[in-house]
Amino acid sequence: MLAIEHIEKTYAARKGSHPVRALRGVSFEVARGDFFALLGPSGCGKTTILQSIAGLETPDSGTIRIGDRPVFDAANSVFLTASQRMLGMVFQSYAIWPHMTVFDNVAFPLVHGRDRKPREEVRKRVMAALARVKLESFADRLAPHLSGGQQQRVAIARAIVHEPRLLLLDEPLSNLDARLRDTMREELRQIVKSLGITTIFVTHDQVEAMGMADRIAVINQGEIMQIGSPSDVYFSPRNAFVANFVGRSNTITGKVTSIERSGGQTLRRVATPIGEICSTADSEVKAGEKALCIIRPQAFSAFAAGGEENIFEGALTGQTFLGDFIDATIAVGDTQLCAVFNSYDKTPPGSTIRLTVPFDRCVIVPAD
Amino acid sequence: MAIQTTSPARPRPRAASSGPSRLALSVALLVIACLVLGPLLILLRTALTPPDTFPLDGWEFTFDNFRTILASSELPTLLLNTAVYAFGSIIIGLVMAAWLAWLVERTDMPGRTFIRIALFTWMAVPPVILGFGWILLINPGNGILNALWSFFTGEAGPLTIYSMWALIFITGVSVTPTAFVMIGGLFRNMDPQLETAGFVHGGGRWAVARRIVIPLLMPGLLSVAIYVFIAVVQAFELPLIVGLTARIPVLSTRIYLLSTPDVGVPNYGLSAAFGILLLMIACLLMLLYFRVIGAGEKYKVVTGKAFHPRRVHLGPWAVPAFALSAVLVFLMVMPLLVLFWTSFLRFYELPTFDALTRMSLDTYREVLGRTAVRSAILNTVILVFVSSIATMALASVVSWLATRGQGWLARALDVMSFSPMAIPPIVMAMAILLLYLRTPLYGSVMILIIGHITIYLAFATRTMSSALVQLHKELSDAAMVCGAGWWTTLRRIVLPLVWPQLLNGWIWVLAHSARDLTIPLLLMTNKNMVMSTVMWTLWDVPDLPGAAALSTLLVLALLLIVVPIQLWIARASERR
Repeated sequence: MLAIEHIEKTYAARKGSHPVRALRGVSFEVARGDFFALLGPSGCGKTTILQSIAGLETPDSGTIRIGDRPVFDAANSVFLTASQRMLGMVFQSYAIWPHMTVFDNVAFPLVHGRDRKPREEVRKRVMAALARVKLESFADRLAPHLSGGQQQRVAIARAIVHEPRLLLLDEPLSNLDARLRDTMREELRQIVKSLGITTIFVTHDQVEAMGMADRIAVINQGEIMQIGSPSDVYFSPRNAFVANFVGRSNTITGKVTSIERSGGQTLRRVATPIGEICSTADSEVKAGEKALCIIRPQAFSAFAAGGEENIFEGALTGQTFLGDFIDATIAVGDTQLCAVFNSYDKTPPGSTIRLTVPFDRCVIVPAD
Repeated sequence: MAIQTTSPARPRPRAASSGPSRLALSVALLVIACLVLGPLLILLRTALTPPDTFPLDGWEFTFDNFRTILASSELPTLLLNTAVYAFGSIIIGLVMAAWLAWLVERTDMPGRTFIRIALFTWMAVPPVILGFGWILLINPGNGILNALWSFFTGEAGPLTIYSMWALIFITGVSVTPTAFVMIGGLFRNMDPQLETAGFVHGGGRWAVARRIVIPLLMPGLLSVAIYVFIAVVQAFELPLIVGLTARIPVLSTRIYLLSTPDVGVPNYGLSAAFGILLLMIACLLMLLYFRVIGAGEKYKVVTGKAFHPRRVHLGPWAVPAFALSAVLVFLMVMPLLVLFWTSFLRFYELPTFDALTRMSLDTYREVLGRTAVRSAILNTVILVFVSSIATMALASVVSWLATRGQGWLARALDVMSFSPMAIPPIVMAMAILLLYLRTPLYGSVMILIIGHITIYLAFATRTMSSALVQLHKELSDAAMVCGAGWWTTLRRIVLPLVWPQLLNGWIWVLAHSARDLTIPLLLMTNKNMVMSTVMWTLWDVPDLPGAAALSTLLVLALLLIVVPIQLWIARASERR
């Protein structure tokens, strides 16, 4: 449905600073009906990608195709303006026009857009879109008289009323309070999925990306770090950035000493300051290379269950009670490891802890 | 990772720009350059011609005119007069404006809305008319205030209009509304939390004022002072009406007298050279202004958050404070009342019960009966409507292109459209006169329209670009993504949202175009008289009641347009 090939964007140098390479050869594809998240810290270029798809920003090179039609192709000077691309978009500020009623805001794409509809049809479609976001009774209100959550629903209704091929969401939940965000997360995904619209969703919040997207692209400094399903990205991060940006992790530097194959599995042995760590997870690191061993705090269990496991012993140096779980710090030699314990397991501070972690939960990535 | 472009050379997409096209930017830049630079180049050329030759005759260049100026003994006097006049006026204007602005914006004084509306509508009052009114009030012979004085004391009145202090006082009063609007904005936009934080951390009232409020306001106040200073240095009408009789020549009146002497041939070369001198002074002041504004940025106290300023509770001081403000406002209205009185008489006389019986509408009937006056009224209507609408249309397009465009073209457009701010109207009028002197445009209303577009473009562009900059870019992006073209976006989204500012700019230009005497007087022939020039000629005759009647009509007409629109704008911006 959407194919982006090698787009680059460099912002010219301002006085006294270097040019900024906002996008460094970004490529990805999104299948029809997918809910695709662009996840990254602020300033990583994710919004530039979204704006390039919308036609509000012009990349320096590369191609963008929506459906089977190129909307941007630097080599052949193809550029469709934002108004020719027939998309729906929810802006970060919602961009609800304050001088219009809710109805007029939502009707805009049908009245002034490319695919104009007769009056009766407009009325029917707008009311249907408003019904979908549960705002039918607000149709005649002026936009500034709405709460933040309601404004966001209007923005969603406006973005879906003309049944666009592609829906773009620019951090749509970041301006809502925590409780509203949780409900809207469910609702937004449910609305979009029921309509079957392909959706690109920009966020810096990993919880939003994990909870809503079918696939996630993790972006850092204008480059795509990893694309995959939420569980792929979480369980098999491709590098230290992904491991630390999506969830938390312990990163232990070391060196791969040997690679062994046994019973269809590949076993890597890594020499680290806290002893040898064995891993059966997929990896591209070769023997003799420097590596990072990534272990999620949730991967540990404090009590050995037997089987193929790495075992560490250390003193409990700190614990924070967070209600749902306990955040614990264990010193193994000079290295502090972070682990998550069950809230009901009380452990006295300073006591010696035996941490075990199965081989397949240790991920080996190349050192930067 | 090294910051270096590794991609091979590819053809850059030319048409692929989401902003306005380079063609549109270039055309706009060309139009503005013709309007602004054309006259100035001719002015420079004229200043460099030998004495006693007409501009554009021959190719001789000489610095004779500048040598004459520098050698003459009148230059120090002119500069000193101008400096004393400007400093005196801004001190009076700023003190009055700061006092009123503080009471209106930061205290609970009763009647503050009334005072704010009174000062905001003051721009509808032409300075020429103020000058006339003050002459009737305090001229040494039969000025009303002097007459009152001798009625009570039996001696001759001490006041005289024809002196430096009177000129300073009148100008100070006439710049007060402008300074009030600017200083009021400073007070209003200051986050009260900054003061509250001072009180919470143990500061007393005086300590908070001295260490927090005044330092924060200082850059803003300084920039207002320089802005008003520039306005006074450029002022022409009051020095013309009051200063000429008082024999207090300043730079602006000198330029006028050289180009339109009562006897003899106009000395355009010398006049243009003085114009260049005044232009240079104004440009230096403008640079200073930008330095101060730049320094003020670092104290930027406008947070964009909505807040209501803390109001000081005046308590028992409320009534005296209001009384004093009302006196100040009355002081400003007094000259209008005198003219109003005079307009109902056939011959000017002091207001007495006896004179009351002779009041009639005869003057109005007589003045309006003249064909010259009728055609002047028609010319005025054409001038103010065409020039204000054209200025706002041009300013809207230019500021839209400058704020949404990219690259040096957009920046050049921004600078070029703002540059007339530094050009004194009298200099611009002089330059336009020289440029169009031998074209058919000379002597038409069209040349006045061109002049007004040129001098009011800077203000109109500023108004529109600050409105457009504040408009969140996503509001227009959203319309584009919904499938609307740029014209629909401009018409349905952008213009409705900046409508109050557009209207505000429009009445500002309209009122200023109607009250201006500079451009119409320098470019005056018997075919393009407007109300301000007719008033001036009637006053010169002298036909005081006639001038007063026309003044009253002009002020009433302007108030009828300005007041309702201002009220509507105030309501519209409160709704947001």
